[in-house]
Amino acid sequence: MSVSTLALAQTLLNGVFLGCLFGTIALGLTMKWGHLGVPDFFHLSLTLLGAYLTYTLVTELLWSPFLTLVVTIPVFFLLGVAVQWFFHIIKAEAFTSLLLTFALFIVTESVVSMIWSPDLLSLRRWLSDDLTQSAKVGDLSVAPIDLVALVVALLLVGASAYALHRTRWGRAVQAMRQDGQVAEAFGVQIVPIALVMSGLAAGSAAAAGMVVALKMPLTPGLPLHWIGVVVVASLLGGLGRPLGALVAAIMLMMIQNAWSLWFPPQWAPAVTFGLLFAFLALQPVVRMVRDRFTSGVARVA
Amino acid sequence: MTLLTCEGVTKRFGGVVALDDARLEVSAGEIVGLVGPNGSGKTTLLSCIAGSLQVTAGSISFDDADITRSAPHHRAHVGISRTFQVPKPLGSFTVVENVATSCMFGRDRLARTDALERGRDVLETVGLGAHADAGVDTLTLHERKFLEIARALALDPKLILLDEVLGGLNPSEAEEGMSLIASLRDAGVAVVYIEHNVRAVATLADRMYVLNQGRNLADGVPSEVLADERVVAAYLGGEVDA
Amino acid sequence: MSLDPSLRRPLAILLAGVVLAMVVVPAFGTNFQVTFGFQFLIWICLALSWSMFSGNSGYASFGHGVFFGIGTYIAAAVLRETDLPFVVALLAAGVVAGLLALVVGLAVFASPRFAGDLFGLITLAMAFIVMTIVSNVSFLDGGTGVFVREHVTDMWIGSSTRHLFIVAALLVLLCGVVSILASTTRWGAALRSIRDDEAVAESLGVPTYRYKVVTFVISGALAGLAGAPQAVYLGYVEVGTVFALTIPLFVIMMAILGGMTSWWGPVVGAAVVVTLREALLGIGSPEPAQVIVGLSLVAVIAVMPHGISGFVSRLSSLKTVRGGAR
Repeated sequence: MSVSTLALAQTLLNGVFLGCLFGTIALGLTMKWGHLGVPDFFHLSLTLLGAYLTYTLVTELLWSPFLTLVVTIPVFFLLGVAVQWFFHIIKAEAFTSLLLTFALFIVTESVVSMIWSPDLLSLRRWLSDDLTQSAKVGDLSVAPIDLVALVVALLLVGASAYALHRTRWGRAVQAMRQDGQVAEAFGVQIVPIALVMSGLAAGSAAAAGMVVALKMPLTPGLPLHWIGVVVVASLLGGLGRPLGALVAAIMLMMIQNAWSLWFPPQWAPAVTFGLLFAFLALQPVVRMVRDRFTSGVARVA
Repeated sequence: MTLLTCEGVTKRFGGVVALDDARLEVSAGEIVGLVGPNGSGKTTLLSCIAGSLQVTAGSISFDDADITRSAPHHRAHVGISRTFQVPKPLGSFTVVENVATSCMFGRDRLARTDALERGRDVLETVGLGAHADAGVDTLTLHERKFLEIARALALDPKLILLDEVLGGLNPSEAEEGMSLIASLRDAGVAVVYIEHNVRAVATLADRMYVLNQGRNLADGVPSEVLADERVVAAYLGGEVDA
Repeated sequence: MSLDPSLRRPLAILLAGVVLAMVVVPAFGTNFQVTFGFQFLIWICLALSWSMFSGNSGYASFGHGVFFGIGTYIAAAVLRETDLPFVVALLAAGVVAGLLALVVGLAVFASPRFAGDLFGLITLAMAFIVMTIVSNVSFLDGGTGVFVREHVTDMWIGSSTRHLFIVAALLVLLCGVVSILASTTRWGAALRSIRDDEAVAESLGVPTYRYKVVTFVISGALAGLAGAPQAVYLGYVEVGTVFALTIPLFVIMMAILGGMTSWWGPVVGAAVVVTLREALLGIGSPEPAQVIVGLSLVAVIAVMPHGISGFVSRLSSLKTVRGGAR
């Protein structure tokens, strides 16, 4: 079966935009995982909630999707802080926190299903044609929604990377990961930083949720489809590296999309995880390459 | 009779070279001191000998057998035991159970009840007999360090690696520690021990090695080593030990 | 090797409990009670087999549902494709699940980087991969699901739920015995030393790799065994229900709720979760029940970090004596 270069180019381009979305979702996960030490599955649930909230605000109050961010981002920031504060209060160890995020993940799916019903909900009808109509760039189709995904990704990831490497706060965060005790000695307050980070991650989930609502029909089980790509992208890109996660997500989606052109698409998720295993097996090589090319958070062996 | 030989030992962590062509030799029943300024690679070398770190290059042989690629538990079985710089007692076990673990999985592979009995004996010899059934979180730092030693002793080793066991102890506790180490040699166990207090090492050790920035700087009888200009310079140039 | 006295009591209690259940429930219970009892026993098997490895070693696996699911599918395949007795399907389920655990264990435990949450994620990844393979391999499922009921109606196992109950009870006995052994004895000491500090355990002579792999394999095989009666019970086997992510999550919940400091903790946890779910099912759709159970877990962890059995043992034991075998 031959595939035209145009079809390949289009599918790769689609992969790029989808990768931007997943990179945005992965941003919160990789930051919390890399710097706070716990992979937060609940982050995916927050993204789902953000999507559903966007849906409701657009369909019930007839707001523009972008306007919803004014409400969702601050609310989610507070929610993120609250959850982190709860974890702090109960003095959860790493494994307990992990389990709790997983429990909250499953609980959220049920809650969403109860509130919004398990049926597919699509924002399509409420969106103006300006957003949904694909435009032609050369021979390729690009929808404005895709550009939104791209812009949001670049904004959030760019801001995070900048904050992490160029601001004092960012350096404090990096120090915290390397050695908590030493960092504290230098006046780095771990708890407030963790709270703020959770808040920011949750805020990014709100934004990512908006893009999700624009891009695809919503169903409570969506996060289960995201887990694979988001987790693998975070690991491949290096935990705690926003840019790394974005690049990895884009590459993963491009590969997955291209794969589906020649091979049965049901195997696509296995490809993602296969890449993960290959990556883990090649860790020493990867580390060497990465250390040579980037200056990021140093990793303990 | 040479018990342990380390040759050309190099250890890299990413871009950092912690050990560079280091060498060490220990004969049966002698006390060898290992000193050096902060970051000189002492603990790294010890960890390489114990097996918790894999060397990047070089070879380690013990009792005429090459153990360079052996797992740590295998090294424990052939007679190498170690303590950790920061004491690491097993938290969900009592004091005696900590020591009994060595007896159960070490060279002798005792059954549980025998191991517990033997554990109590070992605790007596280090002076912790009264704490046998206590939880490890009730121990003071000094007691934790001695528990480390007891655990390492219970393996019935030919070579014991001590990592700064005297650090943080008051003078009388340190005295106790030093006589304990001396008694090890009397019992025929070889000792490699890292200490920050160079003088303490000098009084006890039969021979000494000085590491600096991962490389051997000097070695030999303590009196010679301490008089070596390069050693003096390394310490004065870097950290000054009180 | 004579039986360690400290083992006699838990083994006796376990045996008594199982025998009692096997005698009383099938004989006197209503169909509903027997069915409920069967499900409860299967959950106990899963919770015990998970805790036996993950609880004792500290390596939290999120993929336990995979071994259970593979067991279900292998049993279904044997029952569908052959005329062999159920016992063969049962053994095949356990063996294949064990082999999967062996392959994964040999690879994953070989590297120290795969400890902690990375291990959990790898087991999760394993779950996704196995699901994808099973969905696409027509011998196993191929996307259409597998009908088991028609193949077992004329067998002893398929003729009555009471027979399923008996098989499940025997599996509980097996899982219980293994759990008791894995949390006491030298085996338990090795695993718990690994959980406390693996580097230290190695330095004390514990062959950590060997213990982790072997225990993981046994844990997976036990879950696989439980999958066989499950296949018969379900009647129709399909990927979504068999490999649902809620299964390993509930298993972990039960173990944490019940506490893993005692071998019987997961049993208590299973009892609480199953009862709670059943009581809440009366409310209506399954979702509110799931929400309440999930939130209850969060609440319990906040109050009793070591679960119910940890709480109980803390109440009853003296402050000076800690840890050790039970």
